[in-house]
Amino acid sequence: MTIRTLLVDDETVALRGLHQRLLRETDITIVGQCEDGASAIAAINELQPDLVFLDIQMPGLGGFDVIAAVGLEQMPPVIFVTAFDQFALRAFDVHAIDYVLKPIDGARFQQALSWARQTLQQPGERLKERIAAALDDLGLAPRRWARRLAIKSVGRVVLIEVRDIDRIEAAGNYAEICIGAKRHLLRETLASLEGRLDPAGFARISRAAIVNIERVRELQTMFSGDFVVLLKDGSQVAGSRRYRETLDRLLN
Amino acid sequence: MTASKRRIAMVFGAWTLVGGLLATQAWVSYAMRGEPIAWGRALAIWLAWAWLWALLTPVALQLVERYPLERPRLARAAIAHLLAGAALATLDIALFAVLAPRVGSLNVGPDWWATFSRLLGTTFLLNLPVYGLVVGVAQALRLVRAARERERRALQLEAQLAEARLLALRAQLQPHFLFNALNTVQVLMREDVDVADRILVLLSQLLRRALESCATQELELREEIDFLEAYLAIEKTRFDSRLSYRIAVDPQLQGARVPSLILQPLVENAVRHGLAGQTSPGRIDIAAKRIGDMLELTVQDNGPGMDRAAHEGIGLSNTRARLRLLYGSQHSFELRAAGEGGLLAALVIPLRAMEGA
Repeated sequence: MTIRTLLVDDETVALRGLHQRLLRETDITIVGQCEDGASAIAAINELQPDLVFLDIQMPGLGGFDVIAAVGLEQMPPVIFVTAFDQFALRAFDVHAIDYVLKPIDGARFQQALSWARQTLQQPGERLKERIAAALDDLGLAPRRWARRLAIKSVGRVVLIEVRDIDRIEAAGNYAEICIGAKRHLLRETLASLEGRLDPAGFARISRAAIVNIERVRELQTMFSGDFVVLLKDGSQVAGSRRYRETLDRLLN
Repeated sequence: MTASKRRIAMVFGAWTLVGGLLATQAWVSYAMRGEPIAWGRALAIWLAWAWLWALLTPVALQLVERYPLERPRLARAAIAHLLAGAALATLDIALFAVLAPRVGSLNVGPDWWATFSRLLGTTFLLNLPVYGLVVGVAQALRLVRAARERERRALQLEAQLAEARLLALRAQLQPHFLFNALNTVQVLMREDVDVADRILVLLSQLLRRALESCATQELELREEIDFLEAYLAIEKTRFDSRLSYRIAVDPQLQGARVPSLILQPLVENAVRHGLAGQTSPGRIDIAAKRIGDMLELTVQDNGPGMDRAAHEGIGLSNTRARLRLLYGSQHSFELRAAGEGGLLAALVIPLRAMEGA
């Protein structure tokens, strides 16, 4: 089994250091390297890595912000990397969460890797719960669902707040995210995106559309059982009868 | 017992003691003159006199608070107390003339006026220094209190200083920076031994300087800039092309005196925020120039500028405390939005050359 690994550190040299060490591991394939939080969020969504080495302190969005944005539900197993974070490390120790300190101790690094391998062989909710508990200890509300989406375009990454989204429509392998008159293309399937969004806030109403429940103004049913959702901005989205139940449940 | 009740009790206690002593003295002296009087009678006379003064004492104390016998208004206070002393001595005698017949005083005339005139003539000059004595004691207590207050304030200042010193050390070099720099050395020594070697030397320079410095120490601007150069050189190695910097110092200002490592936290913030901008590399501009007889030091970055001025002001409270300690009101320190959306930290301190420079 190869472990598709993403490296996240704001420091070029530190990334090279992780790379150096991981090259010797035959089961590790490095699928990407990110130098800031925003591109890390985009890379996690897009590449769906098996394992992420995540620096905690980065300017702008730090490691915990990355987790909050991606949502614990979609977050792959993480090995935290940090130079000095007394409080975070205490919480990690308490909840048995993997981390390595910079400068990196070779033996400790191997230990972290073998823990990660074990976790990957027995996937389950346990790691997510441990991370949630540690974040809770640190006064950071653990979030199961994505709070932000990172949209990659040429040379930059745009972060959008999930609550601002009106609706999302499928466009081939992409998802078209509609915020007012603006459109953002996200390279992710609707099914995957649905898994990251809080089901209390978003509803899948057809194979091709997700709507923000708060934006729904009206529901028009047809004889066939299909329906049309009218949003507050005036737009109409066709809903399929197969998804009717989900929407009914949420609108009540 | 409240403080004011305790004060009243102490005043009456002291005067009772004085009255008792003087009564005994009078009793002894009359006995030696061969005209013995009862000790109880002497006590009644002197206690009446003493308690009247006890009643007047708060007035005297008030007057000391109002006209303390201290520079710069010493003469004015002396005149005020002389007049007040005469008035209070007269008042004391007037009141005593009321009580004199009832306590069996020896100097009693046929009516109050006669008693008063007689007492005024024989005891006014004795009662005047009594007022002086009360004022003297009050003034002495006042000085003791002031000395104690000064001592308390000095201790407080010392504690503040010690704390500022400690914070300054931490602010100069964050542990985070240190360990990251060590990590850089660890990676580089496998890639390029010479570069690793250089970083290690720079890091040692920084550590040495940070360990030597303390909150109130000043050093030459040249040394401060050397420190920042070493710091930025390490950061530049860590972040490569994502960080650039420029230092512009008027050569004539090289020997100017600046608080040790005062710019370090500002530069550290600038690096952090300069790197936070995704689209453009971080850029730090450090400048020193002369404005009249003041020295202006600025650190500017091109990071995202929003709301930082207010936010970072809090993190730099230690910097502010040091500047206050060193220069009092003779400095200014502000954070403002820079032209290109970044933040500009500007520090203005008196321009002074190092001694012997």
